[in-house]
Amino acid sequence: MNILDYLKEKKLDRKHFIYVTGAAALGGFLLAKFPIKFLSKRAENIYSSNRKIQVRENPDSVKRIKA
Amino acid sequence: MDKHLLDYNLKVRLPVIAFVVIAVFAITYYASYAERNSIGYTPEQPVKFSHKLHAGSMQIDCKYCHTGVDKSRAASVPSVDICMNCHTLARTDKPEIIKLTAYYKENKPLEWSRIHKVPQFVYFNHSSHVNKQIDCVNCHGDVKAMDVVGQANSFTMGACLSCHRQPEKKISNYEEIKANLKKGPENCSACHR
Amino acid sequence: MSDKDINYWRGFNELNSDPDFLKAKRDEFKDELPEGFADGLDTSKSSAVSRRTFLALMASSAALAATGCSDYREKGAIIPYNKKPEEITIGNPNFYASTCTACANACGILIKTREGRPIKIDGNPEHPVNKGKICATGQANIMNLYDPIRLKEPMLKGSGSFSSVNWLDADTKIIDELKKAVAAGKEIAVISHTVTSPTAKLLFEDFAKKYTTAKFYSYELTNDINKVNAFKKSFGKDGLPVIKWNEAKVILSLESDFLAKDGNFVEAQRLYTESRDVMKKNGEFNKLYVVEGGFSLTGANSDYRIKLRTDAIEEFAYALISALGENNSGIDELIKKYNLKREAVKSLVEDLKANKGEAFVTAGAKFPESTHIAVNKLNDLLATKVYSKENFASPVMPLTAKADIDALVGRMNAGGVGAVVHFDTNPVYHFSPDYKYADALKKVGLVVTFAEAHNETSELSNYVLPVNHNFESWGDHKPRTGVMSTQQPVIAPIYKTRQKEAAMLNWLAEKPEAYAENIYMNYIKANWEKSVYSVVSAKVDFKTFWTGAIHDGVIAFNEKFDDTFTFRPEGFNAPALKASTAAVLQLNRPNYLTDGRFANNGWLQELPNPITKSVWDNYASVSPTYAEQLGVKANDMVEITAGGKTVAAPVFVQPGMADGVVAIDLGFGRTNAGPIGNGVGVNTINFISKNATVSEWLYNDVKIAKAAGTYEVVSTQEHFPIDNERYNDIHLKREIIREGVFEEYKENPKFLKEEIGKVELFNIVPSYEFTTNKWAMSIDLNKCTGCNYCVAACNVENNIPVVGKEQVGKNREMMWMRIDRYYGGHSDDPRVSFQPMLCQHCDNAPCENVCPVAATNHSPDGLNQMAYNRCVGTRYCSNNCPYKVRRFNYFNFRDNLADAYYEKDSLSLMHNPEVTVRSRGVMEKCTFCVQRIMDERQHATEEKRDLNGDNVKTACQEACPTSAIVFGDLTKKDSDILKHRDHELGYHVLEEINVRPNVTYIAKLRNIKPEKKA
Repeated sequence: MNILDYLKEKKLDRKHFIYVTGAAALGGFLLAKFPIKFLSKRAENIYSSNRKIQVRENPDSVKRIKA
Repeated sequence: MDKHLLDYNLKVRLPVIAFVVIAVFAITYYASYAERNSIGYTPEQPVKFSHKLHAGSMQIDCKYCHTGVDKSRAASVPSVDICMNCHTLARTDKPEIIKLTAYYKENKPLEWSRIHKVPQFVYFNHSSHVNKQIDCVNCHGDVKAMDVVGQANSFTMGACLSCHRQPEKKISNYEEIKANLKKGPENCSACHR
Repeated sequence: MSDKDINYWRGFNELNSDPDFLKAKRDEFKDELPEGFADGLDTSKSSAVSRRTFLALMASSAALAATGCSDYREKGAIIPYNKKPEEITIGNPNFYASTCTACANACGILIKTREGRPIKIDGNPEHPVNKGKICATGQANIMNLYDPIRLKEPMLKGSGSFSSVNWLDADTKIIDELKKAVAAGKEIAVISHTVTSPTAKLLFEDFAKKYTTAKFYSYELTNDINKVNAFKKSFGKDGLPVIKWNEAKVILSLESDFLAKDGNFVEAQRLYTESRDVMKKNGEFNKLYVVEGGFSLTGANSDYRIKLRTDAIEEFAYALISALGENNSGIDELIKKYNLKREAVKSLVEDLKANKGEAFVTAGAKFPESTHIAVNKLNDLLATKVYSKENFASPVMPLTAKADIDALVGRMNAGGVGAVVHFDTNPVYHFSPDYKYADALKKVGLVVTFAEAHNETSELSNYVLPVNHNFESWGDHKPRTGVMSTQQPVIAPIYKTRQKEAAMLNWLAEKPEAYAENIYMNYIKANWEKSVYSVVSAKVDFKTFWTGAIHDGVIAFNEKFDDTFTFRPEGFNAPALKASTAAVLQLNRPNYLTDGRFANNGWLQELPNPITKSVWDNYASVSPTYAEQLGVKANDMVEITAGGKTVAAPVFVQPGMADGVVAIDLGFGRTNAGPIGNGVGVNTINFISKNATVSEWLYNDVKIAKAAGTYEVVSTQEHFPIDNERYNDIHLKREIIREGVFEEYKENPKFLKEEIGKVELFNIVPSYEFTTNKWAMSIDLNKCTGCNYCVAACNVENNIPVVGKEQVGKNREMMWMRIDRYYGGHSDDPRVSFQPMLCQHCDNAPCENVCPVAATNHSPDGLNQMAYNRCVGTRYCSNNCPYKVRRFNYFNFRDNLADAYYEKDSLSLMHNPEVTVRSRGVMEKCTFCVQRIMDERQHATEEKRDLNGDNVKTACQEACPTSAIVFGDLTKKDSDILKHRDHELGYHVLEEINVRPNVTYIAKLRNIKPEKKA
């Protein structure tokens, strides 16, 4: 509640707007350059759960040697 | 009143718009630079294999391990048994070798972090390039000097086309191989099927 | 709006911040809001976070969240083999020779694998029977290997439902029960399909030695038992002769679809079209007469087609026999009674007389014994020499006679059968309902069903044992004397399945737990050492011999058999089958589903029937006149009663059928085939009687009545009103199809060029100069039989999605190639023309000019390219294409059909890795197999030579059994394609619009008497 009231009171004028967006842009740029992984571990788990079908060869089969 | 409006436009709106446009463009350009052509991307690998040691100091030829590169479209990342060709005996006390042997013995998949990748709709053919004697370093950079492999050159379509169109400018050993080398194909179906 | 924002004011109230005014300003719309809407709504308490602030906060937090997710430069993992198998070079395919077991023909195949996964089937070029070609079912069989409905482990039926059980438990229990059955003197019945494997027969014999009450039965839904029995009576031999179709100058087919369904049709197509080769200088054409009541593919390819109701055909055969003895009364009577074309019948009699020794008569397998005996007599009178003296198709194990199956069911009902083993068979679906087989099964103690997936029979079994697919199994096959075909697995079983022969072999073992995957291979090897190796007098040791045989896929050797064919008149008297006054029902083998076991194979369900072009259904085909008599139109439901049984089916009006004949396909209407196959079509096996008066597949006491309701049968091609003057023969008027008569061609080889005349075409833009090689294709319409194997091969090679019946109804089928079927003449007697249509790769392609994003353009070697990643789905290119060969992905069809059935994991292994799998919103079309062209370029660079166009074989070219499709490089001297392109019978479709297509069609010549030009 306090935050809402605080936000209600605070008026973001043009100067502040530029600062905020500039800071956000700078933050985004730095994150892009030097990434910090947050959710990559979860993504990996999804990928590896699909690998249930195993393709194996039969040792006694004879392949065609193409002339 | 008019003067005030023009003044307002010039003093406030124009700089703000210019700032926003330039800022957005610059951020997008630089932030996506790495994603667009991935130059410099040097991820950490599960086993600390050093090309500088193997390909550089020990002078093992690229094709000893990357066996498929002159026979097929894919340049195969060597299977673990190729490593074990030497490392069943060589340096078996080193921690990285012990890690490697564990992968081999326990049949665990050795998940290398991929560095060089083109989108799935691009069907790049290693054999066609290697069999024209185009050296690996032209695209992959000086791998012999890399402890950890990183992407040295851009892999955008523009980069491919610039070499196809002007191979003399892009291929380091052009003088030796130019007898057999024409310009690379520029038509879509050469790479996109 | 903040109260302090006083830069703008509209009146003194606002300027002075009058509180009443400000309150009214906030409650702006109070008067216009509905009653009670604004109760409790106090605008003074509403949030004063301005829009600007809100947007700034939301945007920055979203951006932060997005960038934090992962390092987007990550490209995933690249995982090599741990121990790479020696044979595999990643990126290059391997080929293995094996045998197809989709039907009893046992054709040799070559299986292409990538990284250990089979992805494409083609014929084995070394195999003497099919010589490198395989039918559509064989092509699409690859989907069954990866089908998600495959059973993954043995199932045991508990109280009402199935639960998984492991093999050892199942084996132990089953061995126990089998032993008990033998001890109690009860029969063990093993029911299999046609046994083509000599080693399997030996296995059965060994099984019967251990389990002494075991008896073996084999059946097929559609078979040639009648023909075999007749041949035994007439010539005293067990089996059927191999026909040298290429040596027959005149062929008479009495409703025998020998080009598509009867016998080994892959071989028949190749041999038959050897005598229809316009590339041979001074070659002669053979002549095909077809007498039929239905409309078969062979009938469509005939020179003369005589429309006669099926049950009158035996009378016709007898009349012919008299005619050959100079007594034409029978023939004249039939011509009058059925209004047959006098010219055609006269020509038939004359040709048969004039070509004794090189004429051949064949009758369809559906006819009763008496018809086949008459045909044998005819062939004897003609002194036919087309029976092969090198090979004879003697069966490894003859099919069980109906009487024996009846006796089996009787014993089952009486409790005399202790165990029934279904050897990958589905008798609950296939047997005639007269047997009441499902009820009889209930009285059997142990019911074991071997099956790849659940089916109608497995539902009623105690144990369902999953079997290896054809490509995971060992085997040997002997389709005829002197040919032994080998079958080897190219992939270890994907799931916990076993080969059915190996599982049975394990029941003979002392310790079932000693099972190993290669016990059946060792069994075959032992058998071969004894019975094959010793016979063929090989010059190497057995191990080398075996490896060589597996490598080649087939061994051909000399096997003597009695090659004299002396006719015995046993059973030959007067016609037994006479035409009735009721209707005739013929039950036909479906074109691609064999006996219905491929019902769950979407590719085969969507492959159009070659004549009707319909998909995903079966229907009752009737002639237009007969439909009028019955008062039905297309898609109306009718009730057909035959032999006391009634089945309702939708009507399909088929021009050219005889009146009073109804033709329906078997193999549909399955209830437990899987999500794709369930409920497709009507089950016409319900018509089959175990004591049919004529034959199992032919009934002539049939009544048809219109029934309530309609059912839409979907076709990929409309047949437009051919009796309408405007559309009649439009394909000839528009010169899409150009045809001629063989006699005229012999007289004047340049007749077609003269007909076309000089074509003056101009270009408003300068033409492109092709400097490197140029790809082109030619399709010889004399050889094209319209069989659709090319379409099936293209589907497999290019990862074509299955779209389902509803989408095909909206003309959204995705097949890149299609065979257009045109009717010429009138609907009572049409002439059929087939034309395979695919992207013509036009030099002046109209599709390339209109793409707004340049996704489709032309390559310097003549291909029209398609870059899927650029396509935005405008569909302007398809709009502009005059041949309408471009297919658009309106949906991600794999996701759209049957609950994303085709997105399941196992099916992703089936894709060809060299071809993009397209998703929603992109246009696709034939690429002239650009992946194979690039492959050849790669090989040329590797071998430091020039590109050789003859090394590129497109998928359709490889599959065509008659080699009608030729593909190659026009700049290569003396290439086949150059000969075809410059041939005097060559033409392009829609040449006049100057798109310069690169597919040449060689005009079809019919071997008929030239019609008098008006």
